[in-house]
Amino acid sequence: MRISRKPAIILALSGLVTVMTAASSTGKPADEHFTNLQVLPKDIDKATMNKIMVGEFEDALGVSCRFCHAANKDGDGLDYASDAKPEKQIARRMLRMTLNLNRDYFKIDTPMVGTDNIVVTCNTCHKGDTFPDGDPAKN
Amino acid sequence: MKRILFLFISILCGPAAFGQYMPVDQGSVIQFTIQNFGFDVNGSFKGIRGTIDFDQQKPADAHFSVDIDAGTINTDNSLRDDHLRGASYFDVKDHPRIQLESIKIQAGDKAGSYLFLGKLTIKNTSRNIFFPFTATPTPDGYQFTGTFKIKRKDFGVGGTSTIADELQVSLNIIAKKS
Repeated sequence: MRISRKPAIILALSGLVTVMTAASSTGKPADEHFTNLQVLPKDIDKATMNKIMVGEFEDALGVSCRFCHAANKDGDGLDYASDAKPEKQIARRMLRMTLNLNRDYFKIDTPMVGTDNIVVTCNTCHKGDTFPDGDPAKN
Repeated sequence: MKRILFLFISILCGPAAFGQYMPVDQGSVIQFTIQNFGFDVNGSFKGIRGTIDFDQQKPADAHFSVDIDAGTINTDNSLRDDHLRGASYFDVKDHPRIQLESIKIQAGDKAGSYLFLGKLTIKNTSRNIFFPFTATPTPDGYQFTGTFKIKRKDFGVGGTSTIADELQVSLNIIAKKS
């Protein structure tokens, strides 16, 4: 018995396309969508988000993610969308204050942390110190 | 015979009668709430110890002398807790205990309610405080609950910062017969 090569190749290619489509639909999208954003732009991309979180917050305050982000309920990893920790609410208010300072006093139309389009940053006050609350300067 | 009768009555009255009690960590909650940048932040302490002389019928004879371990401060943020243990806040190295001692206890308006006038000492600074509290008998002692407000700067705890000066302290103390 002889099988025609043409239908077999079409069938194989169809199968390959199906498998590739299924694989791509189960993976994470190229640009992760963040939820519960209240100060940062809702359409912010992952690279910009990481730059703000690491370059602005972590470096300027000397903290890690869990300083503001609550743990997942199952104890594994962090729930980045959760507002359970007051530190996250405080960070939002600090961020609003920083953006307002740049807009109101330095007349920057659309100030954005993590960019060069900003004068006052987290580091202006924090300088790597989590709690710059009037203690004598550290040598 | 009278002595035996008195002893018998005393035993029958159990823990509700005058006696000395010891506060214990298990079941006790020593909590505070303070605003930071306008948001409520909660914290707690452990390591309670001391003596409590208390008789529901004779509150005027009562005396509380308890202290807690300042180093156990827990605000669910280890970085902040370390900062609060430092010299500018609680300075736990030189002042490891926070003390509360009564000066006068009075009966309150309702059954089981009382008024506490005493001295709170933090970082070697003492301030008089006054607050209502309740005492509920338990099988082996008492549960004391009360809340009061203080100003942290009155005790030299921290300076100018985004953290509010006033905080509320809530006590829920389990004391067992010693």
